[in-house]
Amino acid sequence: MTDALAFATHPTQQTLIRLLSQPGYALVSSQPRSPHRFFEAIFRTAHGHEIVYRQDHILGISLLYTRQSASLSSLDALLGQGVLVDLVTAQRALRQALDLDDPAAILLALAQTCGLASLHEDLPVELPAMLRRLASHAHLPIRSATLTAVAYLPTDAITDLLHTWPREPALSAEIDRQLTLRAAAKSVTVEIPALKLPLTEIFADRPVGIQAHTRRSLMLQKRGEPTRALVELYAALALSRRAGAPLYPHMLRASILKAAVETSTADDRKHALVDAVQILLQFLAQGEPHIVEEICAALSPILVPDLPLRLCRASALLDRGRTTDAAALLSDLLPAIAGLATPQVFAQLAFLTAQTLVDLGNAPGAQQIVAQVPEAQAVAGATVDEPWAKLLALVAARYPQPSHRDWLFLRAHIAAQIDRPDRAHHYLNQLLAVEPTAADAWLAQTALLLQLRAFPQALIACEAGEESLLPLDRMLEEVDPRAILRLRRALALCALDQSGEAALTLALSDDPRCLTADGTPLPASLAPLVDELTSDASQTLLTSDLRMGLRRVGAACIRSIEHAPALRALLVDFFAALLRLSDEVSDNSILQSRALSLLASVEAQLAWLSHIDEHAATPSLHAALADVAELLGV
Amino acid sequence: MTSSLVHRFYLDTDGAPASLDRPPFSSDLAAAFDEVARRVALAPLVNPRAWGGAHVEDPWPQPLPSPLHPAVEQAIRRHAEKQSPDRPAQLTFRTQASRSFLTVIALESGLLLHVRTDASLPLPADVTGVLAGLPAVPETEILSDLARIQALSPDQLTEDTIQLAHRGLRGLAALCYEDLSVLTLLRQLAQHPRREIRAAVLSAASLLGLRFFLLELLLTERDPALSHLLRVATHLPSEPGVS
Repeated sequence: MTDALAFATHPTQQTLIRLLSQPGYALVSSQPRSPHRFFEAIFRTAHGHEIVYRQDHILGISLLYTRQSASLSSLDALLGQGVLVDLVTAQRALRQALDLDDPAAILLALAQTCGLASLHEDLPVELPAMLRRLASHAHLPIRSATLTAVAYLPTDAITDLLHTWPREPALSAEIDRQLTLRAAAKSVTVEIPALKLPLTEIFADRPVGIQAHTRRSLMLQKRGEPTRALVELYAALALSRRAGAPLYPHMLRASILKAAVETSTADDRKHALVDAVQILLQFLAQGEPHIVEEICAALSPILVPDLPLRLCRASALLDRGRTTDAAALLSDLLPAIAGLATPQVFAQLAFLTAQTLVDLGNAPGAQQIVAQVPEAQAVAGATVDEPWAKLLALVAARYPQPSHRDWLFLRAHIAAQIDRPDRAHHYLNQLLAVEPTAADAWLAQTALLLQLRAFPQALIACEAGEESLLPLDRMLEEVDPRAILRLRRALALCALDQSGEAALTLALSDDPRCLTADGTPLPASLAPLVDELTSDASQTLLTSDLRMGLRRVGAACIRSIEHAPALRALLVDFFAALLRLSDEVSDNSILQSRALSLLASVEAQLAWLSHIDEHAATPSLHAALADVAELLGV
Repeated sequence: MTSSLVHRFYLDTDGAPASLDRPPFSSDLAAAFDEVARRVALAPLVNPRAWGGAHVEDPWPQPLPSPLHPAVEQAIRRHAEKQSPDRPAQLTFRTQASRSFLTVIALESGLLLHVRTDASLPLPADVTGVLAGLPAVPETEILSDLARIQALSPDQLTEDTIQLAHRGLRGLAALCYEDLSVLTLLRQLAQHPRREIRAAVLSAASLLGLRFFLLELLLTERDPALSHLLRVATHLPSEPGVS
């Protein structure tokens, strides 16, 4: 602020506020003091100039400054009276106080001088020498105050002063802290034409476009970091290809940079790998797996070893739905990951691989993977503080950490697929021992028990499963799990020669799709009931069609708002209430009117929520409610 | 409210007497703030739906949809009680009868209550009802107490007046959180011959984060215990043998 006039005052806020409240000055804005900011008020003069008034509690002074030197001429009187001082006066006072060795005067002049100097770009020439004298002052409070005051002056001269500051136990920690902060500020700040931003701020603007990657690539090339520059360039190239922008300039630079990479430093290559992973993860988060694949293909031969890149590629393949390729790649990578990642990250990626293989029907392959992970989850708590482990963890963080429950379920699933229902039953029993209301486990258990011909136990499991089912469980599954459980109960009863009760149980099942979903052959005694179930002979308004419709609309709606907890809770309860209502036996008009009042209430609440939660304003949500209204016959 | 007036109160949570139904306030400022806010919300004739420093106006829906799902109410409350990173944490309530505004503010140096009422009327009954349940000391009372103590000679100071000085300086630290003119008074009282008064000055300066002023006091303080406290407040090592 080279043209600034600055004043430090004795604390006379009221005087100044009164003065600046006079005609000719208008208060523009004021910023209250908070733990991270000083009190600040901005005034505007009749000429449109802005004057800033700030109170610095640490130094115990008030500062008044402006960029327009003429703006403060009306305060000359106060300047003359010594109420206000400028930098020259403050510095003179500091020199005099030093010469007289008056500690109280030194403190005040030091606060004023450093406070004012912080508003100027250039440090007064004499100041470093005076600060050097103060750093060796006889009184510790003065030395400590000087150290506090120099924190306001982020110049190289002060950094040099800090390096030679006389060391003493009381102040060493603060000296080191300031030096660390200055070094960090220097290392992250880069010169970009017309911009002077720390790197972190540049990256805060992500998602970045072609220009930003290109600009950063140029900057890194200028700094002698060709590998990092190449990473950025490939990102720009991939984006340009999709945007139909010219590729030739990027390709030309890429060939130049590739040649420079061979002689680049180890540090450059190490940082480039970190950059690459961060960029790839950004693209994955933006839903651009194609770009990730392209960049990985280009960088893999250059950034050797390329394990994190290949892991990103596997992630991109999964995102693109190319699960077979992803599973093959993940299976290839796992042995290398085992040696470099923390046990938790390895377990996380092994679970992902096994799960993908199970989904592909390759249970034996999944079993081999699972066998590499300790069953007792002994991995918890172990950490490997290596850059490789951190990079792999960064990629793995895209996927949830599997819990003990997830592992048991996966192992049960694999065992069931490789025709070991006894093993699967064992794993599910372990799961149900710790989570007795796990409806999904009960559901899987009933199928296994029927397969094992343990019909009495299957009946118990069906009952426990139905009790554990929550409205949300019933809504989010494609086929109503309650209907499946009732069907299985009917099958178990048939096997136990209780056909009458079996028929009754099946009659209560109101989702005919359970018959095809479960895939179990039905005994002949139940065939007539199946016809009745599928014909949907109900005469009430709230028929099974409505129930299915509600579940379909509700499930889609609730899935779409997974990240809006309040909205989700509201709609889960709404659809659950509607489903409960559909189970009630009552007069149609009463049920319809209750359903409609529920709908009206939810719509009113959504209207308010839409002010604070953008998810509540999404058109699909309102379309879903319109569908509900239609289902209810409105 | 045509023309409004702000009455400022210091909330003396440290000195508030406790009773069976009123446990003492926590010494943790955030917990004390929560407790004060809870008491205001539970006071009769106060609308318990408050809003935080991120909002200038009451952000609660008017009228509220009824029935209101608990998760929706919670979401609206979270939104309403959002704080601004540029302001001290605060919650504003409205009284139901006089429509006065009650703002509880948490500063690093203490808790404040700002009451905005109709300037033409005395404090309404719904406000005085809230004040009765809080350790609220009016700004005017703090200033007059301190003026009286300044006028007393050192040997006229009794245990009670010293207590008043402590409360007054704690209150001043909160009331003058963003007004450096408080330094003038603190400098005067820092010369007081009674160490109890100087200790109260030290405490207030420490609450206000006046580092240079604390170092200034350390240069002149001769009492070993106070000197030790000053070194603690300025993160400087104590002299050997003093604790």
